[in-house]
Amino acid sequence: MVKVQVDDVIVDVPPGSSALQACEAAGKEIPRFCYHERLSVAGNCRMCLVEVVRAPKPVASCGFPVGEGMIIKTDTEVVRRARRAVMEFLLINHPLDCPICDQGGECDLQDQAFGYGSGRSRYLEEKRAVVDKDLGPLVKTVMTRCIQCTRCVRFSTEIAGTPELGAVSRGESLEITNYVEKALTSELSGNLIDICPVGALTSKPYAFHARPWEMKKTDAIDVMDAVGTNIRLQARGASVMRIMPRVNDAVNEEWLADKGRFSVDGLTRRRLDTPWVRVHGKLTKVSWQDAFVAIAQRLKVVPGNRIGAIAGDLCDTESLYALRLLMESLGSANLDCRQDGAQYDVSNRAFYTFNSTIAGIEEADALLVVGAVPRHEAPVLNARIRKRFLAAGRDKFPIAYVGAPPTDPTYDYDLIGEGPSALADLLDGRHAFADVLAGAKKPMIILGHGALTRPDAQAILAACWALADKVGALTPDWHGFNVLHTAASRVAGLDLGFLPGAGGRTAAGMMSGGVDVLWLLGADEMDMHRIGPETFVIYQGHHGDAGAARADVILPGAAYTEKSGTYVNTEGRVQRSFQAVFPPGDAREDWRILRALSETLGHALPFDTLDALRARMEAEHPVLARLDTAPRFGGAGLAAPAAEGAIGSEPFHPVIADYYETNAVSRASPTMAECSRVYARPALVQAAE
Amino acid sequence: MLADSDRIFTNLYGHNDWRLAGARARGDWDGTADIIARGRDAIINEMKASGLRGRGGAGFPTGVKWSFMPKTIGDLPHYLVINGDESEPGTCKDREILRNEPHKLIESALIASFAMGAHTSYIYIRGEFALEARRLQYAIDEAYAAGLIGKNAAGSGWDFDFFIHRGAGAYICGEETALLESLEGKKGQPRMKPPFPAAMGLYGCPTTVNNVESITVAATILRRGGAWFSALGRPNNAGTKLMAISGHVNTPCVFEEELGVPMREIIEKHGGGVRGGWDNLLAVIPGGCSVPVLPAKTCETVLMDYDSLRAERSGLGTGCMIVMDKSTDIIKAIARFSQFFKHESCGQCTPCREGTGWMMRVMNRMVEGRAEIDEIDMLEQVTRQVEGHTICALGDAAAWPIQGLIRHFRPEMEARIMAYKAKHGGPVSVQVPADMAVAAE
Amino acid sequence: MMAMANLGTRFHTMLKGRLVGRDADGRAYYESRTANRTGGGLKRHERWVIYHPGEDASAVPAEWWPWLHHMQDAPIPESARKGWQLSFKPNMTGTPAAYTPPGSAARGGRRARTTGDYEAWSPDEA
Repeated sequence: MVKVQVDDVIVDVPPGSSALQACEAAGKEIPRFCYHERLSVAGNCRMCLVEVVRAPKPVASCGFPVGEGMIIKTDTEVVRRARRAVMEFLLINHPLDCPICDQGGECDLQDQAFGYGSGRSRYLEEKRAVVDKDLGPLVKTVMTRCIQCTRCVRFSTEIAGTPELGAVSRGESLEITNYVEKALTSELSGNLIDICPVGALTSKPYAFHARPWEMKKTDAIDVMDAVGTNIRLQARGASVMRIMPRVNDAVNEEWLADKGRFSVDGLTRRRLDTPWVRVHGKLTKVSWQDAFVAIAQRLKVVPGNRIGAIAGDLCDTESLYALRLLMESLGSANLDCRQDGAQYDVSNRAFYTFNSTIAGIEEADALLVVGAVPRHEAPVLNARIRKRFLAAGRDKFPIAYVGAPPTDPTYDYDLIGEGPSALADLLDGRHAFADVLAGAKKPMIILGHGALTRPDAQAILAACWALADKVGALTPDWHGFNVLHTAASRVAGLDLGFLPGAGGRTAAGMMSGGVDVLWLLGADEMDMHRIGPETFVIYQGHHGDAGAARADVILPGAAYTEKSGTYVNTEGRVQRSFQAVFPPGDAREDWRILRALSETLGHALPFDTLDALRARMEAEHPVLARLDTAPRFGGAGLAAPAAEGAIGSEPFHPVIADYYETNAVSRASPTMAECSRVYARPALVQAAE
Repeated sequence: MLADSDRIFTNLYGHNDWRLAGARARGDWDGTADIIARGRDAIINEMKASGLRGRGGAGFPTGVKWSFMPKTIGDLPHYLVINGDESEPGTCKDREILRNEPHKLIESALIASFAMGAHTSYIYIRGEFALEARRLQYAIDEAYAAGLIGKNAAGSGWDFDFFIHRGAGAYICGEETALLESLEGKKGQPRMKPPFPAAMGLYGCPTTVNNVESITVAATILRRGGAWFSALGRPNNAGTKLMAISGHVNTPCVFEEELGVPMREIIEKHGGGVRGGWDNLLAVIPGGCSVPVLPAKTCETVLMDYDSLRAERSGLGTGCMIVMDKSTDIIKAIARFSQFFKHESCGQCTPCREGTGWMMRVMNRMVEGRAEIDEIDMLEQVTRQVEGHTICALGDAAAWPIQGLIRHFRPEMEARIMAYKAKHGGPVSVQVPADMAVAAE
Repeated sequence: MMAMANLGTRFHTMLKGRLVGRDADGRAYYESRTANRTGGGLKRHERWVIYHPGEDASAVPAEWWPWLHHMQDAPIPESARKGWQLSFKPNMTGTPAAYTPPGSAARGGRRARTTGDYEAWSPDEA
């Protein structure tokens, strides 16, 4: 540790820290624009100037390394004058259009001008104007406001791994641009909006919608993928206006994928706000009571084993649990949370979670990805892989893929093979990457749903486990076997045992006539035509999508912003999300619907409040009581998963065809539809234009 | 005055053969292996003893700079980078070395590289120097063919490679860290210091960046001894230096001269006197365009070396004088410099990016007199706000000429403003654009 | 044209009034012949207007309003109107022409999308 004196405070900071970090450790606030904790240091805004004793001139604290016994002064006349000077320079060519700027109220320049700005301008010449750039459907630019801090350039180069932004020209004419004016291709491009300290990069869909001080902020968990990104819902009145990430170093650092951020406008479209019942082949609006009666009448004549339930990808754990209890009380063992037909071995939690943990990626020194496309299935997790890739240095973090060749995963990789035969090569040591994995101290294997949704999933899972065991990924202090989920509710469903019980049918079995009454809890990502016409379908969910169109009774539920819920991410991390707004119209929280219906059916569920439900659920499944932790454990000494059947030869296919439209919310979102048009099918757009 | 026997650059004007044979006849490549055989520490100590200060403008002692390189070569290779991006207006000294004394440079680069443990040296040559780059490449090829560089260079046992990189015409790439960025193929923008290049330079490896002249004199110093070099000039301002005179003198030229010679004597002797006699002198900018201007009165007495000029609140810079007689519009001259710095600012850091444009615009108005008297003070304040707050020295360089102008020629600026007011009637708002003001006439 | 005025006003106008002028719509403006009222600390002429039937005080156009309220000595002539000036309109409150804000039910209730609005799903769109 290095002892540094900041003003009157003496602090110990780790060697290699910057003067700015020392000042922060001492509790001094240093104004800054270009400096960002998670980006490289540029030192070009010059706002963070401090005085260092024995330095001839003020130094930029963000890039100045501390030394033993250094004395830093943060509040002298020299420092104040220097900061005022920099602020004046920043403002002379800034348009000062705060009243019409979307960044107003959360603008670093605005805040710091309050402290260091002058009340009047001495600049009487013409101001600079910069042509706005078109960066696609998500990021709006007003480049005249840009202060050339290059945070966006560094973010897109370092974090997102899509080096599309840069600075052209020099001097006063320096402009941030992507030069050819094409849409940013990153799935993390929304973070540019958070990163930008001024209003140069703002959200295009959210433009002129609300001001930050009008918002009620609620902590929540993103459900668009299985990473469990910590988000903050910002609601004005009855609707969520925007979604921003929360800092959680163990999960998402401070990033949020575009689908989680921008599909917010899907929450106000195609909503189910009233119960519907199909009468003579036509859906009719009814009251809750009539809907319940319709269900009760139908269930009365059906034996328990002819009732089934399939849960979708966005469900909270509480509603899964309530539905499971209801099904059990009706005498049904037909439960499934795997609408994509994936197969797991649930005999041990380690067989279906991301055991290395997301933060653990930063310790790994070799990575094998099997049947997954992390960039699309979990963009934030992919950013963590890239972070490790950059931090490790050249060839220190070799990455290999087994599966369809990914389009630019944002790091270097070897494609070992497109089918499971590559796994056999690795197991036999025929492929050179087997030695790489074996030579690594902490190798990681990520198994994705491209592999797990196949008929031979169990065998592939067993093969990957065997490979992990063979290359030394399962040691007492390291667990290198990981399953990357794509559905936010999946791990919770597996934890709860929302799976076919004894004699129960799987999702496919239920759809192909295995049951007479099929309960769909937000399950939309299935081919509804496979459900026979004689099956009575109850759809409980929040969006009118495939499930609602097929349903005989629709029960309007709450979207993830409208209910308090628990979610378990791919690591097995249990996180709690809070309610920001109320469900629209007559829609209700899902557990309430199930509780109320159970009363009508005469099988009243044993809880009346959410707390009672949770208490019961946690007593039954203690793993769900451990909030906000993903315990690291070693992989040694665990029995291998059961290997069933033989591995096929069919190549792996990606499970996500279009990143921007994977669930009912994002399909309802006009922004995501536009993204899908621009990004997922660029050939069509070009042909049309 | 420098005796002919003490001249380092004996072919400065290219009257003799610049190729290997001619260079050898002048004593280059003589006993190079013996110099290297003295060992690293001996060479660096000799350089320190010579008192040679960097010839690129900042004047940092060269021997000390070399000694900053890590003593032992670790995992990372060391590099010597020679700064031949001579873009300073009014400066034309390295060019003469490149085209007439290339072998002196190559030999010195070999010795310097050995002294800092570098096996590779790059020279970054200004893009406009086409002939110079061709000649240097020819000389490099000759040296490779003669075994003077390459494996076991000049029989010294040291492997040495020498590469030319041609710039693309940005002034800022003459700044050492911007030069390294440009050499790496990136945009030429200065880096933050620390880390200094000696710790993290080219490709993250220990690197020393030296001016062409600083390197080129090394071989001669080592051959003739540091004591000889330090005996020339004044204490702390030792040796000889290539200087140049341009502007309103009778014979503009590049020449080698001892440091510490009175400026007036230099102008009279080498420049053939000021056009129209000494009394016609208005001002001299002593070193390129990035140092403050000196009025005629100061030029009478000041000595041409680092410390004397600093005492007059100017600087030696590159040692290339710009002489201006009384026909010069000094405000317009300095305004032209402001335009240059605004054009050449890399735009990376705030004070320089925004400040150079501001200063240029105010200076352009000052040229016409279309300003207010108190704007002179504001301009001075702006230059103070730029100075010392930037990543590299370009901000300082842009601020100093204006500060010099205001310090020495404020009455002229005020007179210009009063004349404009008189002509255009009373207090003229500064916001009146130039074309409207013209239309009002 | 004194249809609007009641008997007392008519009588008063006949006795004391001097017609100063008529506005564009023909309303008559009168001033007392003697400075018989105190206002603003001075003795001054009383000024009044005879409205058309059913009008209220907002009917006085901008040209005559300052004169009527002793702000100016003479009405603003019609010729001083600028081309960009809208024609004068009295207060329409309480009439069908009254102003209604955007989104008001009186305007058909159509308004821009705002917070809390959502589009409900209906089976027809599927």
